[in-house]
This record gives sequence, C-alpha cells and structure tokens, in this order.
Amino acid sequence: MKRRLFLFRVIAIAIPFGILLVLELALRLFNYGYDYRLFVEDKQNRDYWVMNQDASKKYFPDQTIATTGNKEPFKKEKNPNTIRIFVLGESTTIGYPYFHNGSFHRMLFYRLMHSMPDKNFEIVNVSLTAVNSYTILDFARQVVDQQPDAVLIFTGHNEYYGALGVGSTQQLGTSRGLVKTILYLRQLKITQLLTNAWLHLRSLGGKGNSEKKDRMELMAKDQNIAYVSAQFNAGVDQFQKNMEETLQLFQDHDVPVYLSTVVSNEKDLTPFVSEKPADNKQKNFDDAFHEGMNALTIGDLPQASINLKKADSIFSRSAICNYQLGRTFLQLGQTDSARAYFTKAVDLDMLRFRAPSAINKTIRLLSGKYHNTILVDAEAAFQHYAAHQVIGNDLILEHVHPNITGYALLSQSFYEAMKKKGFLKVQEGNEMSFDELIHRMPVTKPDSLAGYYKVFNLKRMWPFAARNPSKKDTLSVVSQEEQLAYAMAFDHKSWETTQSELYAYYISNSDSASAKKVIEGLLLEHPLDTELYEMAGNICGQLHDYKYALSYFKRSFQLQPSVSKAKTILVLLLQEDMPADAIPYIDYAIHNTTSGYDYTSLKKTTAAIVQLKTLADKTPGDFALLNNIATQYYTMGNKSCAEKYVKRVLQLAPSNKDALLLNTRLKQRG
Amino acid sequence: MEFIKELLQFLKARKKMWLMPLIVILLLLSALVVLSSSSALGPFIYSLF
Repeated sequence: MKRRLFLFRVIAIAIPFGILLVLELALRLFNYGYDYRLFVEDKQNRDYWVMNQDASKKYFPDQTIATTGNKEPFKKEKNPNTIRIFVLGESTTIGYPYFHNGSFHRMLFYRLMHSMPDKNFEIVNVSLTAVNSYTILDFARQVVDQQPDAVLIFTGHNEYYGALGVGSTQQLGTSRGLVKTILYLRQLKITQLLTNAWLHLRSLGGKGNSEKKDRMELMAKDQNIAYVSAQFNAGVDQFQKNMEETLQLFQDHDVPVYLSTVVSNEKDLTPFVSEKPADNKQKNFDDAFHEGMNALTIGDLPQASINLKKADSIFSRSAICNYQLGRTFLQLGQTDSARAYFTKAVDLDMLRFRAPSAINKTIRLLSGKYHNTILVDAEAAFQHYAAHQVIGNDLILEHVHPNITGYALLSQSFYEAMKKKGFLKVQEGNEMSFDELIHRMPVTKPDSLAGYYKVFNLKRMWPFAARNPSKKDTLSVVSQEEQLAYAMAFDHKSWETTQSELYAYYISNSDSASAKKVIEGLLLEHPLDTELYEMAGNICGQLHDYKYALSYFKRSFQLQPSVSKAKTILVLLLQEDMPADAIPYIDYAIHNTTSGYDYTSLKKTTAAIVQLKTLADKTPGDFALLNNIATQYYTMGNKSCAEKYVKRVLQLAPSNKDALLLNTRLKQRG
Repeated sequence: MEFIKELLQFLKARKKMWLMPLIVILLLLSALVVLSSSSALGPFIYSLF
C-alpha cells in the first residue's frame, strides 16, 4: 500500500509537467506562433537559406516594434570557390537610415566582387536595429553551423536601451542569467501563447503610436543611467560576458572574427541628459558654467576655459560642461584635450543612446584575448578622417549612424583588417581603391537623400529636440529624384519600386551613368538575378567601361551559363587582349552551340595569339612576333588590339615595314 | 483498471499536489512574460518616425 501511495505521488507530481509537455507539443503540431530560427529555406530558391523575417520577434515580443533584417540568400551547400562572410550587429551594421546599398557590408561586397573577380562572395548580414550583445550571441550559435569563413561584428550602442538591455529590463533587475533564461523560454510555444494573451489584454487599452512615443519619453526619464552606477556597470559587464561567449564560440569552431570598435558623434551632438549637481553646489556651478558659456559665445576662449574648468571642479559629472570644454579646447587648437573632454561628455550623458568609452575599451581588450579575433579599429579610422580628428557631423548623421562617407570608411576599416590578416588576397591591378569605391559605389542620389530625410525627421523629435516640435515640414521636394527619395523615406513606395522608376527616369533622360548605378544597386540586392548582371554588363559596355562589363557578364555566366553570354565574354576578353582567358569560353561555345556557327577557327587563332604572346614576353625586342600578333588580331577583326601591337612596334622601330603596312591597312579599314 | 481508479481517486482527493505546481509554473511564466515585455527604447526611435 505504501509503495502504491508513493507511486501515486510521483504520478501526481509528474502530471503538471505532462500537461505542459502535451500543450507544447500540440501547439507545435498546429504550427502555433512564430518560428524563431535564424535561417529558413529561401522560397524563391530551395537550394538557398535566407534570414528568417520572424527571427527578430524573439527579442521584440511586441510585434509593433519588431524590426526585420535583410534577406540575403546563401547556398545550403557552400561552393568550393565561395568565401562566406556573416555580419552581426545593430542598426549601424545594417546601414540605418539608408539600408540596402548604403550599408557598409554592401560596399564591401561591391569592392570584393570587383577586386577579386575569380572568387564568389556571400556576405550575409543578419543585423537588426535596436538589438544588442544578447542577440549577437544568440545568432552566433546558429551562424557557426553555416560554414562561415569569417564573421564581422560591429555592436555596442544598444546595451542599455536595446532589446533586453539593462535600461529596458529594470523590472527584472540586471541578471544576465535571468535574461538568458527568458530568451530560452521565449522559444517555447507556451511562452508565445502567454505572451500573445498578455499583449492582447494590454492592447484592449488601445495605445496608438503617439501615445507610445510619450510613454517612451516618460520611460526614458526614469531610465537615466549615471556614469559608473550599478546599472552602467551592468551594461558593460553584460556586453563583455556576451561577447566573450560569442568570441569563444567562434574560436572553438576556428572561425576568424573581425571585431570593430564603435563610433559616435562626439563633436556635434550636445549630450542628451546631463547630471545635475547637488543643491548645495548648484548655484556655484551654474554661475561658473554660465560665465564660461558667455565667454565662449563672444569668442573669449581663455576665459571660457577658466570658467568652465571652474564649473567642472565644482561638479565633475556634468556632461554638458565637459562637452562645452571640448568645444572650447577644439577652438583653442588643443585637439587631444578636446577629444578627452568630448569622450568624457559621452560617458557622462545619462541617456545612453551612445556607447560609453568602456565599450570600446572592452572591444580592444577582447581582441587581445582571443587569438582568432582581429581588431578593426573603426573609431581610430573615423578619428583620422574627421576634421580636427574628432568625430562629428562630417561622418555621423545624428548620434551614432554614419553618413555615406562614414559607411564607406567603415567598410574600408574591415577591408583593410581582412587584407592585413591575409584573409583577402587581392591581385595587384585588380584592386578597387578607397577613392574608387567612394566614386563608384552604387548608392543613388535618392538613396542618399532618403537617408537624409529620415534623419531630418528624426532630429525634429525627442530626444533630439523639444517635446512638442514644430510639425512643419521644411524639406524641399521638387525634382523627380527628391520626390522618389521622399516616397522611399516615408514608406510611400518600396525601395524596389523607387529603383525601377528611377531607372526609367534616367534612361528617358539618356543618363546611362546614373542608370548604371541603379542596376548595380539592384544586383547587389539580388545577387542571384542573372538578368541584372547582363543589364549592368550592357550599360558598362555602352559607357566603354569594359573591365566592369566583363566582370558582370562573367558573374552572369557563372550563375547561368549560355552560349550567347560566352560569346559576349570572349569578345570582351579578346578586345581587352586577354586571349588565354577567352579560351574556356570558346570551348564552351564549341560544345554548346546550336546555331551551327564554327568556333574552331576562332579557337585556333586565339590559341596562336596566346602562344605568340608567351614568346613575345620572353623576347620583348622581337618585332616579327609583335607584328604577327597584330596580324592575327587583324584577321579576327579585333582592330583595337591589332592597333595596340602595331603601335608598340612603331614606337620602338618607326620604320618597321611590316608594321607600317599593317598600320596603313588598319587606317584603310577605318 | 483498479490501479487507474485508485489513482483518479487519489488525484481527486489531493488536487493541490498536482494542480498547485501547474498553477505555479504558469504563474511564473506569466510573470516573466509580463515583466520582460517592457519595451526597449531603441526600436521606438528608429521605427516610429
């Protein structure tokens, strides 16, 4: 009887767990809720994975604020010639406010595509706006299974107010273990069920966006985080521990990580919230500070520095006082002192939308701790590039997000770090320089303008402006490009729609150079669309940009070979005097042609040129060989290459009869 | 059959023993859901404007 009673008790205790298990299984069976996996099968191509658009919902249970990431496909089975790079991070990492090709990873992709044309790059950005190191760690666990060749990380600004950040989970305290438990539990369908029930109950109160904004403002007022307070330290500690776990994971899997320092606007952004001195110090501080400000306003810099320093000695935790000291010392030409004050101002700013310097300190520390983690010092690169070596509006749009030049600089920082480490082996002559990248990168005027419009609007609101800003829209929207940018910025039209309208506009205005940028931008967005590569190749051809035309046709051929593409490529290669490279395409045409055209004689002539060129390289003074190459090119109708070799001979031997004769024939042909 | 009958009688008599853990677990989960659903500030400033 005793034994039976014991058994009953065991069963009774097991029942609640059984019920929960059955409920969980039933919810899974009926596909209740969301799938939070980071990668799902690409619906357009079953051989590829893409980022799951529901993955972010794990971090933002309130669907109205859940952000979504990019959809950049990568092959389930990685090809041998592919270099696969994953990008992890936050809003800056995904390219806010431009997104698409305004982000640093697309600039990197564009540069690598042209600098290393023989390699296939898959650069997959899984960043999300408003997430922090908890999401990085969570995503890293899934990224590591996808055969990454490298991982690029840029994060650190959202440790306080990002999803599950220290300032966002006050009611739960700052326990990292608890947050990790919550993230684990959120994977359960039962938790999703309870969350949805809770959100439904809450929504019965009916809160609109404007009310939410007010709520956010009030919430933020309660969430001022003082420098080196318990909460401040918890944010840094959370970042360090999450990143340690992330970097250890990649090290265990032998994946190199390029970890970047973060950047923020120090020079041109007044701190959001400054701590106030205690009552007994308030008057003395205010007097000294206002005297300092008056002196600064009239340009009396020595007096300004004396008074502001006095204010700082009365109360050293004022962000605004340190900021004004930074401005004063910058005008005095003392850059190092100015930078120190600006950095301190960011550290003391109690509304922590910008990472304090402790985050970059941690990043530098961690880069030295893990042997496969390489430091990408974006902060140093930005400081070097910025006016007076202090980061300001020339590179940052508002508090943390770079402008187009800033994003190019960020891509340059990662590119240089990867090159220096030997991860990227760029062939001399092929490399796209930084200046070339700035000039060529496919960011259209409306792309850039749309970012400007978004930030313009953002800056009219809290926390950048007063609580009730003027609703007056002072943006000038006149030209077609401005109208498209405006529509794109405020979601009246999708990015795709604006790009196709923009392309039509440029074509109707015979602006092929701008149309080329649109097509190049579209192909970066859809790297598997062979038609876009052909369109880009054709426009580059029209613009006599044969190197890029060739590069695009080759990409298109790699994705979907055809005789017509092979024919275009071999013509371009022969035009560029690259006969050896043309042979595989001639072979392809020979084996696959259905038109009956005989490519064998072309192959014969091309092979002969290859042989002659090899001999000519060994005996550079042999004019007969050079003339022979010119004749072969002339025979196949390649006038530009024939001229090239004839000119070479005539430069060295102006009276060479064969060259003169061929030159005459070339001129006659016209 | 008798075993199940006795077990059901046992469960009926000692509801607290198995209902309480179920309620406690669900309450704990609910509390975590409510407390952790306080919104992050970051998304607001980027997505609402």
